[in-house]
Amino acid sequence: MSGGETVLDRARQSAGLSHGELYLRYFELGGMSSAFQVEAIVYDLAQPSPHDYDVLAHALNERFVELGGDHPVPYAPDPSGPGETPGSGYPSGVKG
Amino acid sequence: MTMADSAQHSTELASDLGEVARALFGAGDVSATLQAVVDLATISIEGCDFASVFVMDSPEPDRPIVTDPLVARVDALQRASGQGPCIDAERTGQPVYVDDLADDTRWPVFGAGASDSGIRCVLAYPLSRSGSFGVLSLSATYPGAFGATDRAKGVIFATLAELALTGAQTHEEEDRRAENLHQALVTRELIGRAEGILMERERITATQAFDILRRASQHLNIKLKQVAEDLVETGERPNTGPDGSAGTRRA
Repeated sequence: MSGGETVLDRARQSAGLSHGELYLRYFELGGMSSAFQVEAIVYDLAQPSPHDYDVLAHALNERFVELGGDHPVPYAPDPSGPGETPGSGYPSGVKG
Repeated sequence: MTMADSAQHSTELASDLGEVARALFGAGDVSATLQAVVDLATISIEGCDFASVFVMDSPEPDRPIVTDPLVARVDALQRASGQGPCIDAERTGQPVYVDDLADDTRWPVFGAGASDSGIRCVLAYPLSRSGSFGVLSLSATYPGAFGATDRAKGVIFATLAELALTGAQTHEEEDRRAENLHQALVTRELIGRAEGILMERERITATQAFDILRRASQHLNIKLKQVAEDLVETGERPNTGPDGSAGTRRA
């Protein structure tokens, strides 16, 4: 079992979202995983697809924008390009 | 009082409280239930002239839960002085009874001010152990207005009020959750339609279509829902910014 704080969970806590609230936002954006699976992804206990990760990251980033911030959660690197954010948290190093 | 009188009295008391319970549980949302609590308290508890729900954390409530402006002023005095029976009830989680505020030495500032305003006798019941709904304050213009029966009835009344408020709060939370889920479903469908338009038009996968919407949302600094709505309404491809590599990710 993985331990320690993850990028996604740290972001979730900074954004002031409960697991249920994050799941609702993820679901709203079209996420297909269950609430249980999303929680496992957030805790780095399950590996999401790049798309699933991006939906979660965007759900968090929209919350940060609501709070007056930017898009601090990195998206998954594009396999055809160099990646959007240096040191992206996906797929390796999701754990913070 | 004979045994027959006593039995008659108990029957009437139970009947009264049954009516109170029905009215409290049928009041509706938390706000309406709070107002029903104070209104019914003055009707069902004989010595009670006025009632309010005292909340310490709300210095100047926009809509105080009171049966008369006089008790709103007395509650304000209690908050301003930082002392009084409701504050003690909230702090200890126990009911507090004041026979005569003019003679009571526990709260010298509040007691003098309240009795000058015409309030002499107070019964304060915390509405939940943590005081989350505040404190039910029953007051009277005469000292010693609440007899033993009134005080016993007050305990049962406050318990019924607390249960009714908890039920109303649970109901409100369920309504809020249902509304949030409904909104999420509407937005999800809208985003799905926008993705469908992009998929059909650009012959791309759903994942690639989401990428376009997501990049536009980030570039324009608006919610993805808004990007989807604009696309569905105008048919125009959203602006993903100078990095036009949207939709290149493999499905």
